[in-house]
Amino acid sequence: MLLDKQRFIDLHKYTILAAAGYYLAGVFLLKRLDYAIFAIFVVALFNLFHLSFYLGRLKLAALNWILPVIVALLTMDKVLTKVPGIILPHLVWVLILSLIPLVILLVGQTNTKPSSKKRISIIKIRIIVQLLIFGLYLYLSAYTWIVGGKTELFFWGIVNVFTVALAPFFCGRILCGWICPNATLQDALYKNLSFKRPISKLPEKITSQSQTSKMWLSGKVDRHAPYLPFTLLITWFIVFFLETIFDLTPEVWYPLVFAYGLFSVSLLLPWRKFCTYFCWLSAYRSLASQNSLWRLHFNRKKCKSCKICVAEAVCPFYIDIRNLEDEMPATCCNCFSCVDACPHQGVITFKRPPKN
Amino acid sequence: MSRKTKKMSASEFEQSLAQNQLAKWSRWLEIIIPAYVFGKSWGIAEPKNLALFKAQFPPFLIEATEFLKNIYHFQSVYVQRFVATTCGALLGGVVVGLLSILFHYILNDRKYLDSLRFTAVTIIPVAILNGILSHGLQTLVDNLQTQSVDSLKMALVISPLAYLIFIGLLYLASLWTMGRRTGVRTSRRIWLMIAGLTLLGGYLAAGLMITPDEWVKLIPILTRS
Repeated sequence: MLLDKQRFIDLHKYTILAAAGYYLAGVFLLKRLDYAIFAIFVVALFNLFHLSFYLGRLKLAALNWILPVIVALLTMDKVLTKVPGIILPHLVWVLILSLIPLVILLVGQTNTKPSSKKRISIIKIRIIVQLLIFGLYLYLSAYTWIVGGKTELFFWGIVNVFTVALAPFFCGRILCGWICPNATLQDALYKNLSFKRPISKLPEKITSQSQTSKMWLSGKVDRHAPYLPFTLLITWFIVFFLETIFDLTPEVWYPLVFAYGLFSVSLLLPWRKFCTYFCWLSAYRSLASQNSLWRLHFNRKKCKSCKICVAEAVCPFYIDIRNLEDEMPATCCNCFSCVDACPHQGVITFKRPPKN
Repeated sequence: MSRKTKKMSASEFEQSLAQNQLAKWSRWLEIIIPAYVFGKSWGIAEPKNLALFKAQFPPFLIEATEFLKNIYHFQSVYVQRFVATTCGALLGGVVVGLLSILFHYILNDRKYLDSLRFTAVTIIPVAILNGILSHGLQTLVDNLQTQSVDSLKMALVISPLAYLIFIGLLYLASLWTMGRRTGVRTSRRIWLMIAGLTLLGGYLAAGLMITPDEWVKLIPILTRS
């Protein structure tokens, strides 16, 4: 069987879709879930994150699918549930979900030559962090719905404190690049989906209003970096008032809106457009990140103008680093995608601002 | 940072604002949002947890928001909560405004509005502290029957103190990094840190955190609940 890029994506897409169906049914209807399901999500997203690498190395991609099989076998006598009961049907379902992609990738053929481009270490670390947090989020969410308690609320509480109070001073808006489960899903899966989005283009008023503001406070100006005034005005204030006034935090807000709502709405728009123009979490972090010391710097003298780092294909927040005078604005989520994309040494670097 | 040190001229700045109304308003929201988050916690006290809020936060702040909230009482719970949140936010704005006068004097290198923005954005960690404390109180009151006195003491007296130390350090880091980012000289940044410490000390002296004396008075109230 010939596995080209689209088929590789489809294989993982449908596996994730089936796993999501099983996950949602397990959480909301059956109230029981196998631990291996989290490994299935993580492996599928991992392979999609490294699409260009694994496309020419199908056997290696197949090896990754052994992980959920091992997890399923190791945890076969344990199920996330309040009421103990029959385990076998769940185990079979999880094994099927892991073994189908494993077998297809093992027997599949590819015409693509193995990519020789090496990813920078920080990107590898970022992807692992993103996937671990995504898996943790899925587990805690399932635990809260099945067993009860406020574990998920605690997770978001920690994330909020870390990303608003601690991280911004040093390295900016890392929530959107490293932590948010919706960002992980978008970067790995949604970016590779080729269907026509219901809202494929945003009205000019929104994009123009969001792309020409100034960052006087942080002293740096990027005319083209979305600073999210539209989000700040339209979404943030209304959403936060609603949250407080209707006391939505424990019952509706964190368990449903924060993830499932964002996962769904993000599908309506092109990759990361929701984060860029509408996400209130993202807007607040952007505000809090104005004093971040460590940022990505651009060295115009070393740039060869190859335009591989173009904003639309690389940057989640559509910031074109070539428009900048020397460093990224506070809206940068420090995902290092532009550094990874740039084929030349020393053009984009991560460092503190000069003393003057 | 004064406008002279930036690479965009004043006329370019005015022109860009004229082209972009939302961005202009977003400049105000840079002040309003942190002030709102900072103050809203004082406004959301309810009769069932008012004593706890007065013990956890400076009593005069809670009383001031209660006074504002009760000027006109709305029948709808949601409208009343909107008013309560707004009253807290207004008070937060006043505190940020007053603090920014001190910061403006220390910074002495920018317009007052920019000093106000500086104050508002750097106060976000303290706003987070307020949020943690108020959420903690609300959760505790909702689950009061399942708590022992020891666990209550841990949740109300000991844990908040740890938060205060942690967030206090973050607030100082926030002042330092914002000063560094906007080109404030080291000597003035040290004064900023002193001002930040004074704010935290003043907030504590005004009644932030439940003291052992207050805890003794609270035990009978909590036991009755």
